Amino acid sequence: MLKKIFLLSLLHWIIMPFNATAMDIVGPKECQECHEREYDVWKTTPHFKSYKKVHREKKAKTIIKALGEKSMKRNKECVLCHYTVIKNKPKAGPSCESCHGSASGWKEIHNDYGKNAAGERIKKADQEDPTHKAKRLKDAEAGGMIASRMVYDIASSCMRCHGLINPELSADTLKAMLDNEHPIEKDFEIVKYSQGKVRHRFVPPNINDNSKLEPAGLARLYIGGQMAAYAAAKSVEGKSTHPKFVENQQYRSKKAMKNLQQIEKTLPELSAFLKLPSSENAHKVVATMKDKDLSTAVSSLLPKESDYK
Amino acid sequence: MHHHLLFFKTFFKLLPGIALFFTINLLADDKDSGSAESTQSHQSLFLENKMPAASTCKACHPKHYQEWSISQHAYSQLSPVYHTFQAALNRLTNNTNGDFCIRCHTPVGMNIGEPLFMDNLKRHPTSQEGITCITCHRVDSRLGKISGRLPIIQGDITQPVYGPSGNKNLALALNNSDLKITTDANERGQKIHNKAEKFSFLSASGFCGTCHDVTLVNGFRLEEAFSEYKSSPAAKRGESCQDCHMGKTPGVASGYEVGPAAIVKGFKTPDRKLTDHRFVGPDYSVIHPGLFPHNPEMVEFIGGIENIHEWLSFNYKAGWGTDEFEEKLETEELTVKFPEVWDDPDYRIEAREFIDAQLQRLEEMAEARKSLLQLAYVLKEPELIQANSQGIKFKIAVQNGTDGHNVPTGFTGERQVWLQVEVKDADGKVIFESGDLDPNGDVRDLHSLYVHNDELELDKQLFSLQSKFITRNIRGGEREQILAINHSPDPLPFLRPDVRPTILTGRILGARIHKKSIEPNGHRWAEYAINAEQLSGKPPYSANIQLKAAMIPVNLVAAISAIGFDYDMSAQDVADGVLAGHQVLYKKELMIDMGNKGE
Repeated sequence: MLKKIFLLSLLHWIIMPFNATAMDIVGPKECQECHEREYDVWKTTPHFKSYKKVHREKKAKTIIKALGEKSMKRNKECVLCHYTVIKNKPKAGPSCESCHGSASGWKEIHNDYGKNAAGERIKKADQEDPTHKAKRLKDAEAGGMIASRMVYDIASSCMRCHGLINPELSADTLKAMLDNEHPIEKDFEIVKYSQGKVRHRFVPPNINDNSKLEPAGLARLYIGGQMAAYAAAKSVEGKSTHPKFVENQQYRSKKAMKNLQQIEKTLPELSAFLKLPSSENAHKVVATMKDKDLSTAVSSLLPKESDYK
Repeated sequence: MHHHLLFFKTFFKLLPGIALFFTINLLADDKDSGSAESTQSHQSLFLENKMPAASTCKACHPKHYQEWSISQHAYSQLSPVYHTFQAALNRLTNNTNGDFCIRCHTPVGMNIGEPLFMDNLKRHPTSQEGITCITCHRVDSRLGKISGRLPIIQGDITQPVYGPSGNKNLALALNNSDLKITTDANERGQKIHNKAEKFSFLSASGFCGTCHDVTLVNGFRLEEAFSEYKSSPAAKRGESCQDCHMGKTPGVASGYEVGPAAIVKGFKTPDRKLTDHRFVGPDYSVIHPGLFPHNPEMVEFIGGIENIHEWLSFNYKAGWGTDEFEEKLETEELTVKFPEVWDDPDYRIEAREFIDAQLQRLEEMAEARKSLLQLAYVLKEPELIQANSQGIKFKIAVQNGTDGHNVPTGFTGERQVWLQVEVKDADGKVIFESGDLDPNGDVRDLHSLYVHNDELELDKQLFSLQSKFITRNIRGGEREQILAINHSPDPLPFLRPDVRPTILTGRILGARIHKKSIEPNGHRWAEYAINAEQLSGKPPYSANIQLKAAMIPVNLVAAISAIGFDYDMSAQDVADGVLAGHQVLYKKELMIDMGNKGE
């Protein structure tokens, strides 16, 4: 049994490569300096608004009571998903770094386009030297940045909270949550959740437009999301015996497996991942998807735009 | 020819303001007709870009911002007294007073066509900031004594600003390729103004005179701070308004601090003269510390400027968020029905931390205010004239401590500076009082409601430096008025309403100010006489003399209260705030040795 727990927790670390801790979050204000438009979108999302609302929900109050605690902000486990913790203080709802990774290790790397021949700092992304760009992105990723194109990792960030996967959630807490109607979102799907209200794609060269993701990109994101859902649900097998938890996570993994199997015909690299849903295998799939247009293969699976959250 | 050009330049700068006045109602109607919410939010985004807020400037100018954030300039539009005062005057003048007050108090609001009267917290965020950064630093010409109505140059944060020293230091930051800044609104990076235009007039007293001299076409001079200064010894010596009011020690030409004017992403610009943007003055805040001092973190905490009013429901006076209060709740010694926003203890505790820090800052500012007023007034030693069985007489001089202008100056009709005198006998029994307060908190002058209602005696020996508005009555006589509008309750009221718009004249024909402030280097004696009947026969007697200062008399609050006050405040709340700011500047004791003086 102990061995099993050990292996499981090892798996968490493989699946969740960047486990955000309160220590190195810089906070959304820092991001706003350059990403004003993204910040403005965030302010209209349920993520932002939940800061002042979530603790007032009846469910929240009963869960806190069941845990014998006083408030969500003071509960270490609630804080994991519901707040952006800056210097040990929950300062906002889920924000930039909840999905893109704690930024203190990469903020100053990711925004440095380098200098031109005259030694002046380059301020526009399209003027950056391609070698510099490749190195910059690699360094930022090494520092913990989860860029949107890292579809598997970013979907894992979302799944960690939306699927009740966070490894720091104890079985006791899970029980109190599920006994008191905490959502487990068995049908959470990344395209549906990220391309509606949450969409903040102000990408160069049109940084003033919140552009829609093109079909090939949507397909990649969808597949990344399904892999994340599958791996996440698999990773918590045996973590809790709560029937609701077991049932919903089984539903999640079965559904994701079915969807991925359908795509497997067009994307055979998925086979290895389905056998062993490690992040290494997931990254291999993401790498092969890079220049592929899989929109036809997933078209029947994608959510309708009118259903976007 | 040159003069003509200057005239035209100024005229065209003022034109938008003049046109604005005539379109205010139009715009207000337009807004009421219910345009789509999305259009409005677009508009506000557009305007925020055109009128950058102080919180934007804060990023590189933290020192200037921090000082400004607690200044009266930052309070100018938030002040519920001013806000209601203006509305009261407009009500009494059939709205013909127009933008007379607000054109100085919120130049941003007036530049973007906001109504004269509306919920302050629904104004444009930069408009709520009153006399904000761009009020002075987005002006490029000498406008003269125009009594406000400044034409602000609009443009987003990347557009030029106007400063006293020009572009040299800014260029160092702009040319520093290590800094992740940009002057292009469409580039990523911290946005920064592309140029600092040199506008040396900003450092001249005349620039302050743009607002701080309210003189009107009919000869009515509401405020004369700048005019007083112009003929003062300080002006002769070449000292400017800024030298005393933006230097090291507020109220004294004491030189300037030196340091970087900006810290751009950690890069400090070279040291230069730094000015104090607190503008320490005689006013103080009476509003909830959730709204003032200006604090963007508290705006963020409450979820944005659109929720700023939620701070008003945080009952900090009841101790919300303090350990003591929260413990009482936990032990159920206390039950409180909280508004929804504040029903979580953690939000209250966090809010409390903000509020305590705000109160601490206000306390520090009160100390600075007191120091300034102590420089403005000198209370001399009291002198005994007579002390025998016929009675007691003594006098004391109050001297103007500065030679830059009168004291009080500015809105002398509001400023209350007075002597509170109490004479006691050997048993501690009070045998004489002057300058004591009625239950409303007013001195017992003709404006006291208690004196007016004959419930308290008029304080005939009162020493007060408050100037009074005098209005002409129907038979040609004059009377003191709290508001200089002759809405006299006489059976035959004098010209009501006035036949001309008072926006041009400030007051109706025949109104004047009876100015009582002390001229530069001048002094004034207060004399007190206690007659034989008032003596208790238990000497020795002693007099306690205090020089006290308040920003406004409470009776002004009463006079305008029919309008109501912003931020859900009652007239009592406002009066309490006014009284809480009363300060004792000096105290003197006089031992009265009977039989030594006089016959």
